[in-house]
Amino acid sequence: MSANHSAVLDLVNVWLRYGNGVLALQGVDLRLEAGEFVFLVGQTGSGKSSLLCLINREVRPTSGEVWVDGQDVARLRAGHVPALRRKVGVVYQDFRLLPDRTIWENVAFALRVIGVGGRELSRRTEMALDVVGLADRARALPHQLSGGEQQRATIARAIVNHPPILLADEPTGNLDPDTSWEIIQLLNKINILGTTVLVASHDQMIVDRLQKRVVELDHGTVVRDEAGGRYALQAVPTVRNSGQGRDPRLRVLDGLRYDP
Amino acid sequence: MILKSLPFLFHEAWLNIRRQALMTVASVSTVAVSLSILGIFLFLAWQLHAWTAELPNQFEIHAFLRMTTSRATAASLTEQFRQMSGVREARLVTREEAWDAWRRQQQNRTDLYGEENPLPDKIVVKAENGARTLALADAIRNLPGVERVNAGEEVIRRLISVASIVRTAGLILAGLLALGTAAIISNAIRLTLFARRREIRIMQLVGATNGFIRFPFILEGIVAGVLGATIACSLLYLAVIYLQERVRLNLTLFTPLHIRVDLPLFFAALAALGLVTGLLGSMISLRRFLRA
Ligand SMILES: Nc1ncnc2c1ncn2[C@@H]1O[C@H](COP(=O)(O)OP(=O)(O)O)[C@@H](O)[C@H]1O
Ligand SMILES: [Mg+2]
Repeated sequence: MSANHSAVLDLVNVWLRYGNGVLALQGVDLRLEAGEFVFLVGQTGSGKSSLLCLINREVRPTSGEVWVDGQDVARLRAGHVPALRRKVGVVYQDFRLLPDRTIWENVAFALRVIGVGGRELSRRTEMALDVVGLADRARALPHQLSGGEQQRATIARAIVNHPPILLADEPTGNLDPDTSWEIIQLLNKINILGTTVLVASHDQMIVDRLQKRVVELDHGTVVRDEAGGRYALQAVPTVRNSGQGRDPRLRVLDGLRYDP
Repeated sequence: MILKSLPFLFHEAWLNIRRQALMTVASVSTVAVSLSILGIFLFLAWQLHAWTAELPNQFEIHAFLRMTTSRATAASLTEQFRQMSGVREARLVTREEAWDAWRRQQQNRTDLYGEENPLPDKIVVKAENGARTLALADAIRNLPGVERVNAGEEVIRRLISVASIVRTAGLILAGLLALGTAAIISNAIRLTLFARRREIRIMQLVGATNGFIRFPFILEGIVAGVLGATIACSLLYLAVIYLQERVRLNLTLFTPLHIRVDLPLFFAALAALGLVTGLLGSMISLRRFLRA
């Protein structure tokens, strides 16, 4: 037992071996304070997705502790998993919208299935659509939207229940550079509004541009953890970071305009 | 929480059913067919059982008394029989009454037997319940004053064994068919589950409880089961009406076609069976699916 798990996210010596024998994570330690924005980088197969899956209990670690909001979710009883999932929003590369429901219904769906209804449902759905800038596309079906708009919709769905943590697994993997940058700006905005954000990505452009804390995985181990980092190691001297992030509120959204 | 979400949950179940309209039609009709077959077996088993159970009632136990028995003793024996447990009726037929009856029956042939009455007094006993007839006959046989007992044993014995075979076979068949029906519904639900795997996945990701996720599918299973049962009940009801019409034309009181099944109970049982198999079927496939 580590001393104090006040951090919003605290992985302690996490090992993960899949049923097929693949060792996906090897002794990972990672700590995120509330309000941080962190990039998780590394080559395909380095264990980024696996790490994210541990946080919302898609997968249980073979050993180690996964503290989320003061709870070790590695030891969480199955009956408590839904409550955990309500605290952790997720966004994927492939959007995963329901094709036969409108954008509004897709976002509202996440509230309906946890028992929210009536005016509360409309209020929160509209607010989330507002945040992602899709209020005027609410009645459209997913296939009528561009890729970027679809990703905005999934982000709205992920934050509609105001989770303290947002996980994004390659959220720009299917998008062109301009759109990718818009999506990252949106995630940054959500972070500034108070959500802790962890983004797995191997999109060098956006990682370099945003200058956030970067954690690099290689064959399931953390090989780098630096504040204001870049995607690749070659640049600026590496600062080993204890896990302490800077206050994201210091960064003003306006300063992040994309400027090719 | 579930209560507040009922409109949404019912709507989702309705979407399941509508989007998979063909599947729903297919599963409802397979349920209807298998429940109809099951219903026919159940009906026949019930009918045969009731019929055979009631047959021995037609048989009386005839206890012939010794010739030396006085009329007073015969009367007290009759009273004694009447008090025995399982006896519905005990009646003394004196040798004179029996002789008169016999001669009336034989009419023209009295000369063959002369005027001497060869018959003893006898006590005619009816059991409360057909199946008890044999045991009762054995008990009576050992009583003093009783010379001989005639209870149609052979026939009764056969009928009772036929009844129990019919009942056992009917139950086994009904059980097998119920399992088959549950499997069919389970399969249909599995297909719906597969078609809706995206919705389920998202429900799981945003923290819907398992109960919430299951509800629409369980509802769907129940609807399929009950709808199928309703169709099966309607078909069987028509068949029963037809059967009754035939029996009326055939006006025989004691016929195997005379309906002995308690129809409201029978149809209620069939509907309940539909509901339970629907519930069971959906739970089986949900168990497998949500665990994976
Ligand atoms: N469900 C799984 N079962 C077995 N092996 C898996 C599974 N998911 C991922 N892996 C393996 O674990 C390693 C890490 O994969 P992953 O976490 O997806 O890496 P990344 O997201 O960085 O590409 C890879 O070797 C991958 O093949
Ligand atoms: Mg991945």
